[in-house]
Amino acid sequence: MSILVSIASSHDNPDRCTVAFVVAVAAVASGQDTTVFLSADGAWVGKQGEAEKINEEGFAPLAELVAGFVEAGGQILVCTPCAKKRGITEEDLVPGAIIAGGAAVVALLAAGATSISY
Amino acid sequence: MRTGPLISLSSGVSGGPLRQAYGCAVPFAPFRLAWEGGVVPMSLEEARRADRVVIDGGDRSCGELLLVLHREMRDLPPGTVVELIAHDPIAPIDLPVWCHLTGHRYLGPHDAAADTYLIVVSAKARPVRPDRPWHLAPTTGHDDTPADLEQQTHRETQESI
Repeated sequence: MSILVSIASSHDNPDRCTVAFVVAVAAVASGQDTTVFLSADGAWVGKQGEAEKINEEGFAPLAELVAGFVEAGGQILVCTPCAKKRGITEEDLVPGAIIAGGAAVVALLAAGATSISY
Repeated sequence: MRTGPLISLSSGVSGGPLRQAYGCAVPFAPFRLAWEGGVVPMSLEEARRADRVVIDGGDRSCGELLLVLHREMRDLPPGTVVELIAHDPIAPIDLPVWCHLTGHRYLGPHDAAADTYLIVVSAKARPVRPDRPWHLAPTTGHDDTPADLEQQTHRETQESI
């Protein structure tokens, strides 16, 4: 049983992106096997230095949430074409993130992962 | 009045100040060693009197507060009593649910300190029902936590929600 948090925004909607990571952090901190899937503009969060630019009022800085998520054992998948379109390569990724195709996400869902999308 | 080491996390959650400051040498009474053998070493009343580790969650809420708890509690010896300071008004609802998910034992609000909640570190996480994750999964076979503790914890949680 695992939890998938799908995030499709970043600089375009920092509020939504930050809330999504708060939920992801809640899941992993509650002992759940948790994966964040970054697609569309959400892929930016997977690039080093980008999360540091998002500091939504009323929340912890996004970079702190991302680092805390990974440190607690969370996995980050970055959509392959979304990363390619934005010129994001494996070398650019934050620790704990990997570029993964749709098959990885489908495999998680097919195995019974519960998903919440932002 | 609080006893035990005071850990302040208000300046940030990174770095694991608890482990840096105390390693595994957080003071604990000999009876807590019995927990490793699966024996519940203390009653509710004993837990209320035991030495405490204070974790200051500050104004953090929701996942941010849970991340602090997860980080600071995971290396504490089983049986340690944590006093969590949390100003989030929803904390008394979130904390028993989180304890259900993680297996830690929620003792409820501190009877003398505002915005403070007591949690006993558990030896291991307990499984939850996949369809209703706020309930513990039915136990099968050997269980090293006595049924009366589970029932007691369950009752406390039900009363708290």
